[in-house]
Amino acid sequence: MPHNDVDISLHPELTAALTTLAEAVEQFADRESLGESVPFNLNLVLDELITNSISYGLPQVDEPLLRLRLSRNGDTVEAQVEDNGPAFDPFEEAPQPDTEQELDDRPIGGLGVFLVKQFTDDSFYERDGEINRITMRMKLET
Amino acid sequence: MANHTPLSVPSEEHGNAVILCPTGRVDGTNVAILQGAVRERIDAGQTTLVFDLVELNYISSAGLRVLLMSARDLQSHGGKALFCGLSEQIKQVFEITGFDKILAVLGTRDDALGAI
Repeated sequence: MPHNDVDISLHPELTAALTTLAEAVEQFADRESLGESVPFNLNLVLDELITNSISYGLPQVDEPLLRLRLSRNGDTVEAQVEDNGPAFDPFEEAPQPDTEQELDDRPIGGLGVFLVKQFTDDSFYERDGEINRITMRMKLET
Repeated sequence: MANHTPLSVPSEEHGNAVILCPTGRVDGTNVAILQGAVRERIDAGQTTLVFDLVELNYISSAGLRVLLMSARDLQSHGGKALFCGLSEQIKQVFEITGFDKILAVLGTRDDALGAI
């Protein structure tokens, strides 16, 4: 594994976790020369998943764990978020927003996971023992 | 640290409209600041708000929800919200979410003020 991968624990509190996330993504993007769009989108999708974990899953366990991994393999960036909340597959259970609806009809929620799907080339959930793991891959434009 | 500036929402009155210029990053930790700034204006009877996003570095879905709710709230009061100054990244988020079709998105602040 290359030495410049990111593999860190996040404090399971929103302000601390999102601040650490933003710094980690910025440093990773600088090291890997990722330009502007990829770091923005990477921060956005990870923000959604981490916010969901901290808001819904992790308050239900005694010793919450939250972990972030970032790595690059050729023209692909891979990001992983792990938590030890109750099993939850956001891709199965979140409603899909209808982006064609009019202003009055658009539901206010449900955008987070949709953004993850739209901004990644590949994303999937797995339950590994007591751990929820979401893996996302984004291809870099060459 | 450089990009993790806190959020402020400076405003400017322009005729009957108020321009709000959220500056920094909007995410789940500080979205209440943006929501409060909008609420204050709507409660004061303001019906036209221009969101100039030129100083906005980052917005998560928590922030997008507030923009959507603000536009809807203003519309239900017979007013409107206009959006301008989107960076390429934020423009892409608006396109993917379909916000560009349901919100009034203009180019620059002058374009937005001209469309009131």
